[in-house]
Amino acid sequence: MVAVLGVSGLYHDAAAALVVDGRIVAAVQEERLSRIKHDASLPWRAMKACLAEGAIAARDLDEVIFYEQPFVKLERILITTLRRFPRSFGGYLQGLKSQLRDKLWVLDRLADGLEISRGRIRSIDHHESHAASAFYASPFRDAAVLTVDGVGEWDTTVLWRGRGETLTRLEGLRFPHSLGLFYAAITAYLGFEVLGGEYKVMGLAAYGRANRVDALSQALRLNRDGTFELAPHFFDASGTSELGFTPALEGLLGPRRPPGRPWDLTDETDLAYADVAASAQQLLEEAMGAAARWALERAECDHLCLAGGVALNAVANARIAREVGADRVFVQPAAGDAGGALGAAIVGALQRGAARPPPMTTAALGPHVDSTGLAALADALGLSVGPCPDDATLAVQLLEGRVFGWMKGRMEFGPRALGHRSLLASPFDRGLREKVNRLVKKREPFRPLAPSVLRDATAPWFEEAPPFLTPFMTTVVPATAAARQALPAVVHHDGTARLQTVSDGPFAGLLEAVGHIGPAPVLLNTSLNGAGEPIVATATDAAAFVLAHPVDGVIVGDLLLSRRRVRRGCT
Amino acid sequence: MLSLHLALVALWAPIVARSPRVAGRLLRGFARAELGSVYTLRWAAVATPSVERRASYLRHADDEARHARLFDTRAAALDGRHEPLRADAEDLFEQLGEARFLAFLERAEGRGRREFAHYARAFERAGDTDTARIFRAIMVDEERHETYAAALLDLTPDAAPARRHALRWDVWRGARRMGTRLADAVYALCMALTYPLLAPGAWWARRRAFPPER
Ligand SMILES: [Fe+2]
Ligand SMILES: [Fe+2]
Ligand SMILES: [Fe+2]
Repeated sequence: MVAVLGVSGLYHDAAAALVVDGRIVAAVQEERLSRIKHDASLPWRAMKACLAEGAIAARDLDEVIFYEQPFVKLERILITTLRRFPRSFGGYLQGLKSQLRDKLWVLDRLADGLEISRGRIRSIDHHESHAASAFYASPFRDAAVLTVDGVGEWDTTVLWRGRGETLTRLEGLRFPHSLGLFYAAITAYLGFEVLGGEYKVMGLAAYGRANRVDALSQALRLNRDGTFELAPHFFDASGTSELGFTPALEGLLGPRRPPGRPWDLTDETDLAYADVAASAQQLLEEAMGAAARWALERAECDHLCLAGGVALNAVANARIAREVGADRVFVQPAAGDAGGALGAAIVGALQRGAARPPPMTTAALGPHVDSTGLAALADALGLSVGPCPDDATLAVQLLEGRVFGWMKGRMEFGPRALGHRSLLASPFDRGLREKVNRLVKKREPFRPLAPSVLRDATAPWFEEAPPFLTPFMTTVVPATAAARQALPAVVHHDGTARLQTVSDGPFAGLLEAVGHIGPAPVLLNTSLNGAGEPIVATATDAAAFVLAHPVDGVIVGDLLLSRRRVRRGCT
Repeated sequence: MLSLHLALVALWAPIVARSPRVAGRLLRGFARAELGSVYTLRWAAVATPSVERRASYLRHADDEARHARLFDTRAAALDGRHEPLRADAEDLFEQLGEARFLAFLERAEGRGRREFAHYARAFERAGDTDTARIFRAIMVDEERHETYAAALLDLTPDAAPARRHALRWDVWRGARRMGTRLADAVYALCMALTYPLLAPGAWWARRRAFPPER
């Protein structure tokens, strides 16, 4: 047996992944278990959950691999501090503190915490972790791999050639030239939270005109060969600034938008900020498109795998899929740093002679839903538990306008809820979008909610469904005219939708039932979590969720948990 | 220790209540503490073997989450700053065990309630009734938390020793927190003193290619 645990953490979105004998046994994000959104600590709970899933003890692990090189990262921080002297005191004080306090000793801490010998713990490069997570989980034997994020140790964008069981690094761009840092700076400029608010920029972009591209091109210059450069004086990438940009960017674009002010997209000023979002998004798409072409040419391949935080930009992925070919692109669903744990585990397993894992066809790699004890807990909380209605009954209730949480099987790995920890509603009524937002999500009005559809029924509603992207919601697709009419709650302002195609499992059964009574086997599917919270993981979380949000119920395995004591529609 | 703390709060509260900027900072600090309690309680809910106590901790966490939102929203209204709310959390249940955890809850909730009473009065006197009302509303919940924690603790055989331990532990925790603050200050001072020594390194780093060649 070859068992390798991959670990990412201490920066953002900590996670663990377990690979045993060439099979991805489990992959879990720490935030789901600790309930701290984007939890950046060492993922002890996630590690434990992975080991439990694989029914092995830490002492049986052949190796534990951390997803980046702590000392190389320290080198970047030190050199950046020196180069920015005497304006780098903040970085010197805070950056070194976090390095000295825990980051440098991470391998020793893992050895201590897992009670295994230090010799069985090592680290690999950040972008190698990303690349491995993308290529080895993909259905391709031969592909170019592009990893794009804020920054790893020094790398920000790396091209790889993947062939069978090997990954070869071809070329890369390094800090501070980074699409991730560019997009993060725009995110902060628009008043959103960096490392989390990037989706908001993407949603907002649909409402703007890309009329500031020329101005932004001064900050991010695209070269003819597919590379790009960040003009450093617009950005503050010292890591100590919450903003990530300098006053020069405000000189270029006008004053930043104050955080926290409610958005009004009928207001000229806010529309001008939407124009900035649209321009930044367009520039990012051009940069990603060019980098993808660069990668394909350099690797002499016609398939492409993507990972790294920037590959979470579904709209940019759509553009790449259009250029490269819809069935030739794979984006690893946990493309951000959480996915680094998966890549690290696979690298370790392959180096120990294990087989390459079979292609990833599902992101459901977390703990199973377990409703044992839920009835007693619900009783103590004054909630109601009954058997779950059958699919037909539930479909009727959803189409009547009810909103249900839906927890089935194993929890998803990655930021998207894909029918295992989802919040579901009717897509046929625009009012449901508002209802979901009012009851639970409290999102800005410009953020879209996504549709899930039966795989074989996409045609009348969506113009395409890239086979390795839509199962994971890692791209957007154009909605047809019919869909714009019939599915108003899930088609975005620009006529696209972040589609999920579903081919099997309980969620497919429910969609089928919806298709029997409604115009299409489609549901509105958003993640099951309150505003600012991680996605619900366990039955206990579900009870807390129902306590806090007046939804019509949450299906937890075979049970229906709801607020009222009256049983409705249960069979 | 507790009364000294409250005496300081009594002195400090009228000063805070007069400045929206300082009040905003104070309320944001409370919001962070409330959010930290949410995590602590959610972990306790997972760890406890009793369904009744799990339900109590979940309900309690739900209240604290609401408090965090109330404080955070009011802080932004007072000082106009909007910052992402983040908090550190301690796994007190694991550190203390359940009886001592309950004893600590009882103590902390009581302290919070008394402290908030001072602030509520101070904000009322300063004419800021909106902020005062938030403190008053939250105090009602804190009293309920104190009562339920005490009641659950009294059902255990170790109530009296747990309360004594919680008192000692609370004092020790306060001292440790002061120690951390002191260590932070010493660290900042050392770093400030050594920062100028980076000058030759800065000269060297600027002459090298950036990013450095591999
Ligand atoms: Fe990364
Ligand atoms: Fe509270
Ligand atoms: Fe409380």
